[in-house]
Amino acid sequence: MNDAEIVRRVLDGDVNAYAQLVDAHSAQILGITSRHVPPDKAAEVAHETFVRAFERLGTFKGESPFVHWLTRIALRRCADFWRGRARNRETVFSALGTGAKEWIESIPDSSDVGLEVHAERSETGVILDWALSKLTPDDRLVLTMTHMDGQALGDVAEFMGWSISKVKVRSHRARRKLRDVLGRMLD
Amino acid sequence: MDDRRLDRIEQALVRHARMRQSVAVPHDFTASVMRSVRAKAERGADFWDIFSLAARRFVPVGALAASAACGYAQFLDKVYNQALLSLSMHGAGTLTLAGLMP
Repeated sequence: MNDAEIVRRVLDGDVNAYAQLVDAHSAQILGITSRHVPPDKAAEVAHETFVRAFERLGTFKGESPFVHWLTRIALRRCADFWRGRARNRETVFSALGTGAKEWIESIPDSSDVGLEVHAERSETGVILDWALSKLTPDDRLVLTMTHMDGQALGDVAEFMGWSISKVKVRSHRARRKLRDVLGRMLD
Repeated sequence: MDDRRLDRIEQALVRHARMRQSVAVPHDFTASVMRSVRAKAERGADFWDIFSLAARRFVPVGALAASAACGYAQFLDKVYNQALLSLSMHGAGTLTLAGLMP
């Protein structure tokens, strides 16, 4: 039974059939949320994604694969997560601790030697999350998908509901903003 | 601002992002989602049950009240128009009649 048929069964009142969709796509959705929200929140956001998808199941038209539709919901939930967090608190760089400052100071100036080791350190994740938190949720999403995950522009355009040229422009601007944030951190 | 240094930092961050592992699916993930989904479905059903019960109970009373209100409004309109006509026939000026308009 394919996804569209399962959706039809759920809409006809067989709520338990929804478990098949959750089983089939939970790994992929968790993979997406893991890349866009902190690891300790990924399962929670994935959970919200499936509940939200269930509520909006009637709007699934079957024009694109179910997993694409689900991915769009997951990305929106990730953006909502950051919107909620932006309202709650604004962290200054100095609050990240001495480890982050030491990481910045020890980054090699010109050669790639040692960069891999730096990339593997836990402080890198803290600084990455801090720098990304300074961007708008949409900038953050598009930058993560294009620049960090290396996804095709066409796929990003489909998931974000944008044109390819808009993805290019927003991705470029988001990268510039990220560099501005990192530049201010160095000053 | 040192651009080379900035480039290195950006490269390290991007490499870290690419190395990030996907979180494993918790063992009770589907069960937990299904509990939330069933609760939503039941709440949705409860809402429509209460809504349809209220509708069945109150639709006759509502229809009666709406008819009465509509009839009363039509009656008042007729009385009011007759009063204006009568006053105008007994010589009331335009300004007086306009002052009586709601």
